[in-house]
Amino acid sequence: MHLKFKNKKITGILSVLPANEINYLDEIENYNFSEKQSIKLGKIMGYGTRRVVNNGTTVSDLCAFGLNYLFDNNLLDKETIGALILCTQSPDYFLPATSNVISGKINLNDDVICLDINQGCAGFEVGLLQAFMLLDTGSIDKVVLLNADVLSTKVSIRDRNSRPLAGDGAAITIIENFKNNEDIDVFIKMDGSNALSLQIPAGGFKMPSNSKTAELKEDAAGNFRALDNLVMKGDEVFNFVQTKVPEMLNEMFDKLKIDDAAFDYYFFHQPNKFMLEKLAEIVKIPFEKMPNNICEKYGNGSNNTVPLNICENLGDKALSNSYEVCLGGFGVGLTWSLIKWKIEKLDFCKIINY
Amino acid sequence: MSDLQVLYKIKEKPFVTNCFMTEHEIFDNNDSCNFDNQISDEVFCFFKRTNPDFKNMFFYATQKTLLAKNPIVHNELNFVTEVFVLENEVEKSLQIKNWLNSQGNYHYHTVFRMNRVKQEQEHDINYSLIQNPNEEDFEVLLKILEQNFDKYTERIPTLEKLKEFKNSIYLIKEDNQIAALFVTEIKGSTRFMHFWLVISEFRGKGYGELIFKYCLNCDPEIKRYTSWINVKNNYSIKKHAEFGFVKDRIINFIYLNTNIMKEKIIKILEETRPEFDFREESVNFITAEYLDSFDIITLVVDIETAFDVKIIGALILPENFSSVAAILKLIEISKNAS
Repeated sequence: MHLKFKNKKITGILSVLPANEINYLDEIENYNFSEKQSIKLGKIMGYGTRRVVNNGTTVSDLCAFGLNYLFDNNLLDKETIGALILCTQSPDYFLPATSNVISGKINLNDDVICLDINQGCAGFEVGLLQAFMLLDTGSIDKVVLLNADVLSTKVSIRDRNSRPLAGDGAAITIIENFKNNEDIDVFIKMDGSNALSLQIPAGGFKMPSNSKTAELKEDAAGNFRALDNLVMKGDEVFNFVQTKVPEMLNEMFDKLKIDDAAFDYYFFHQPNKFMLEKLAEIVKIPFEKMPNNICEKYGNGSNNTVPLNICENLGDKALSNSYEVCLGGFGVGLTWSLIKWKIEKLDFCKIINY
Repeated sequence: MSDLQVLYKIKEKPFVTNCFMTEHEIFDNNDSCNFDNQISDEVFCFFKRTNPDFKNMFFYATQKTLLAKNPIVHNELNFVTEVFVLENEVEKSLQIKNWLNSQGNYHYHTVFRMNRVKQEQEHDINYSLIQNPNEEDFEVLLKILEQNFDKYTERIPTLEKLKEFKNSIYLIKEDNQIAALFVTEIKGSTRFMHFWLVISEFRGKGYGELIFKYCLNCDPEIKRYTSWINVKNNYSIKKHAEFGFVKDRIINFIYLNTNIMKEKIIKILEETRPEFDFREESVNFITAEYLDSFDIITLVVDIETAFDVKIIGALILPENFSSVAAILKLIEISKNAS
């Protein structure tokens, strides 16, 4: 699916990261593998440090903290917000929607539309798509997009496949109507036939959590996890990324009659260092144009990696410059999406600690 | 017809070769080839021992041979083939590559030559740390070379040969332990810069630069310096350029035969999962659970490093790691795609 939009601008991005930092090397003894093997794998995959919430901290806590920071520093006027979109896979509750909870926490008025979207690694792109559609109604001029997850709490401490990657955090992106006549091209695809390639099997209505779903069991590779934990068919997800994302990128180049030089940066989701390196090799994008430093430093925060990538790698430069960017997300769903857009002189672009 | 006469016949037709040896070196007094060989009307092929573990294959092949791709029948288990071509002879090198591939040889590494002509010497440097090896250093030195350099690419000398180089080998020692080395060889007025290394625990002390400068300055009779460098060794290329070396047009493509490739793959597999026997050809490494998805990731990186190849991401699938033959095929496909 290719959707076209016009006259919209990101005016600011704030990333909120838990201050609590875990080092992969401190956790190696939890895994059922030799230290040498784990260290070698860590270097390849980019297991370094990651930020995780303390017990009890939720998505709404991170988002409300970031929004209050913006209000307190006069970076956002709450009266101008028309809609609050939250993309998350780790809501505070099944019901109500966590965006409503956040709205209550920060005292938004009852004209603000609150929407929760269950998306993960492509959550930034899906959230932007929703924001564009709301802005196109003509009744809303400013949308606040929240991308937040605290999935570290859902990963088994003895699962070397997923645990060393799991990071938490939130990102707040302000999107506004802005007459600049610039095209925004959204490419998005979803493959429900492989929806369970990446999942948390228990805890929903299909398989409610109980003492049995909490029992840790060893898999063939020596990892211990429960049905309550996140599980991934690593081979399938890896192959999906390596085949579908290049296809979509080529489709984008063909349809828009551009080539890889059209972009200053490719801000892509960063599942792990190895996967993105391999992707960059296939699409022949130089590493300096496709930053790959988030996972190693902060962990894979699922929803927040793309805006965090922008904050980390552009930072203050985004306040005075313009960049042609390709935003890319791919993962749970399976969902994959690319957006061609221009990031132009933001009001803020920074990372704060919770 | 003698072996030499067969070679003359081949040379009358359009032919290619990777051999720079003189006839005197190849043939004995009866014009018979000095080495194990396989000779026909269209291809003259011989195998010279260059290392205790393998031989080098040298060939004279007619254009007809290259196109026909008929298998050469020989009994050699392990051999390496080096093909020297000029940078602008891509077509010729591709033809040879395809022929070697069809004979079960796989491109392994590529090295190119960098040269430096004599320049004004630097005098104000203290070289007192540098010494030639003592008799007792040679065995240790050989061990260091074997551990740190690739035997298929770097032509590691024998102990006897190393001793012949004695006066052109330079060492820096700390507590009587070799900390840095440069093994060079002087032929006429040319110095061949063979092995340059600073042992990892002694890095950051400027030894590498010091010993390099010494090699360039210690003998005023030397007019030319030559070094062969792996195209992927960016550090060495950069350092040579800083010392005034310039790339010339000769490239050396190194090929390994199937048996060596398989042995190298098995060694990597054994290092990944030492508890399993990867020599058993009937075992599927995936269904037998010898390898999991994270083993595959470490294997990809090890294979890429060992074989100078980028494995295509979309081909990182369990079935492509299910056997030594499957991995070999994966390397070949990835090499051809790059």
